Amino acid sequence: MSSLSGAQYGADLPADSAADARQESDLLRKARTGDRFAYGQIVRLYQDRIYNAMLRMVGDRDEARELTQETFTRGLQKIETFRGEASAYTWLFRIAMNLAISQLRRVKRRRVFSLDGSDSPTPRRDDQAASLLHRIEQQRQPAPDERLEARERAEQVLAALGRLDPEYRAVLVMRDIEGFDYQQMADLLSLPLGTLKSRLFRARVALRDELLDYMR
Amino acid sequence: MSQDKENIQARLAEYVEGTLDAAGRAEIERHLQANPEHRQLMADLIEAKTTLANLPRERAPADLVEMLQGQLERAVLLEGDLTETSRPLRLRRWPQALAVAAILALAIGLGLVVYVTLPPQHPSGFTIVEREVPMLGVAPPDALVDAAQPAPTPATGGDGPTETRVAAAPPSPQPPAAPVMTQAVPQRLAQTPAPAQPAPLPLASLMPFGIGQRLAESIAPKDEVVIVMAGADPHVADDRVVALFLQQNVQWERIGQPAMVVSSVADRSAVAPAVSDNARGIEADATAARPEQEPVTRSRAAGESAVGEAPAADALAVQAAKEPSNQAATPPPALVQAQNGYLVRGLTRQQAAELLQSLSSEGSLQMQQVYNWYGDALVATNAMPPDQLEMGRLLQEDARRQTEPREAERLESEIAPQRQPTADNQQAEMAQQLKRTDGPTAPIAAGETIEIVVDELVGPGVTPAVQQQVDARGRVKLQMIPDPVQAEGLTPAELEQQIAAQYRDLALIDAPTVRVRRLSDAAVAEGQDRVNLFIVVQNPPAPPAADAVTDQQPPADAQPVPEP
Repeated sequence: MSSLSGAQYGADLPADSAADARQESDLLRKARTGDRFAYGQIVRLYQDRIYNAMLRMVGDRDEARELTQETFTRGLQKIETFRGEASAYTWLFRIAMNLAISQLRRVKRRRVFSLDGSDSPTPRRDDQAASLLHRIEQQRQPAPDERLEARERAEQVLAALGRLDPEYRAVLVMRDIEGFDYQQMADLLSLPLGTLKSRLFRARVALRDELLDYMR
Repeated sequence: MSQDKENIQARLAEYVEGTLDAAGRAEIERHLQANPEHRQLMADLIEAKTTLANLPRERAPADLVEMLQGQLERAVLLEGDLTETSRPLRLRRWPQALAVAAILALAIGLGLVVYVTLPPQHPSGFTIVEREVPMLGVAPPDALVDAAQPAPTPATGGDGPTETRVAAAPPSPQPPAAPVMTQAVPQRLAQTPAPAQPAPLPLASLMPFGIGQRLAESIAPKDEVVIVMAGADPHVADDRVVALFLQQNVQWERIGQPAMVVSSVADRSAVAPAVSDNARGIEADATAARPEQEPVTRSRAAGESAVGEAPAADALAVQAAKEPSNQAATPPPALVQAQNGYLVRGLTRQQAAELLQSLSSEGSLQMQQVYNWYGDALVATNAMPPDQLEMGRLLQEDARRQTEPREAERLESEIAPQRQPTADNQQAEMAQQLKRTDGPTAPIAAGETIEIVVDELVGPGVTPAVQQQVDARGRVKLQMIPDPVQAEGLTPAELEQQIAAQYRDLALIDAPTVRVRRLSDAAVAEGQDRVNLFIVVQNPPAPPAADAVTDQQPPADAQPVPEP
């Protein structure tokens, strides 16, 4: 997976080696000829990364699982159209990200039309991340040790991420969690490089604004 | 976003990432030294990025790969389309969807039960009883069928739009034998001695202002109008009615053959089942009696909007007899057999009136009755007994009370027909008509939506209609005119002149014809005043019977009336 610089998934990630690249290429070739078992191997190879990215995007484990399943399903449906210009993971990640952004837009639309559709920062029940933040705020206790503090920080960041616009979430997940480089992100999102960087900066500012109370 | 701002943000993003070149980094550092608040911002951004990047990873659920693998294996085994086998992946949501569907079905079912079983409340506050009134030229008694126990009708006008319906009956081999027709009459009217039946008068003498205009005045919002016509030849009648539809560019639906008209109107849900059975029987009888009859679905020219043949029960369902459900042993309403029924949906009152006017002027057809959803006369016809006229008058008053804001408009329309249009004042009449249909002539206000039509603005014969909302400064934009035109404070007529002057002054059109109307008024007219017309053409009328009002007994083969 040489194209995925910065991937930090540890043991679950395929090794960044030429051998794995060859393995991926081989699996893809077989899968494109109808070898479903080969495609199953691809699924096993990338399921954790796709799932983790989806979880950071939607903030809900069930939704993330469904999006991951849908990603691989659509991948299999469209595998004959995959031209091999990008890595298999980049191709699958694009499918997953499009699904996630669509899902988030649907959720946002439901929120807009809800009876209490005000713009108040009060967490909503349909936003698991926001709900988590709310619960943490209600039960916030001084962390007795660093481990709890780190966990709380992670939860705050996740909750803040969940309050961002889908497009901002996408660039942050792609850059900070998935480790894509600028050009990969620009290609995935079909954005000019400068626009991509500008959006990334604005996404960081938005995330920082969401975390401001916690950081101070 | 300007390019400079995007570039600056891009460089700041690279600074946070640590990918900015040395020169750019030095430049930003200099800026941050002079602006401590910006330094803090950048520090926050870097901290947030680090925290996000260090979030713990989670593994995919164990069953994810199993489910997907199972799906793939099924696909391999079945050699089918994966899109079908992928559906089980989302089965987890089916229980929720099924639960929602079950709740909806339960709610709808309860609503239907309540609607069917609750006692009726007549909107006019009087009880409806069944009486027989003479009906000219209807089918022989053996063609009459029973109907169900009536149920309450909704409040005035009902929830549905008004309908105009027409049907034509085949020539009867024998002259009609003392046909009768039940008619809903208010109790207080029924208690008074039945007045002597007036001799039929020519239609025109009863309607000096035109039946169409009278109908336009009489139709209540969301009304449904039944027009009973009589034609000697059903095929000729069919051709003429369809020709009128095509002339007036209205869409229609056939309501089946033979069309049935319940002479008194009732709750359609209570009547429909019994009527349906009888209708099928009558239809079978009619078919057997007229083997040479042409099928209803005759080929039509392209573009005809008839949607095909509907079962006769559909027509009957719309024509259910009306009477209070708590009235015991009420004879069921009679049905009138006819053919070539038509349903015209969603007309404006003006369109309905125009269509009715055309029907009344059609030489091969005779207009016998025009009544509304309640079975009450809307306009006088040859076969209109006085009690029906009285009931119609009462309902007209009720309809007027509901449409109080339109009083001025009605007044204008009443005055207008008394003028004799001449060549000299034809344009003034058209302008008056425009005002009448488009609402009051109050000044236009900011925020209003208006429609502007400029004839031949784009080219000969092209009449674009443009919708414009008057902006906060009271102006509207016009096609091909650079500056907005002030509309606020002007009446639509004054704005028409203003717009015409603009096009004329700019030499775009020599003699512009401009029409302006308020869409808010039009929306009310088109949304709430929609009318459905049910047109039925039957046998030619016979002279009215002397004993106009008689008691109607249910036919021997009448179907039992279902209890609500």
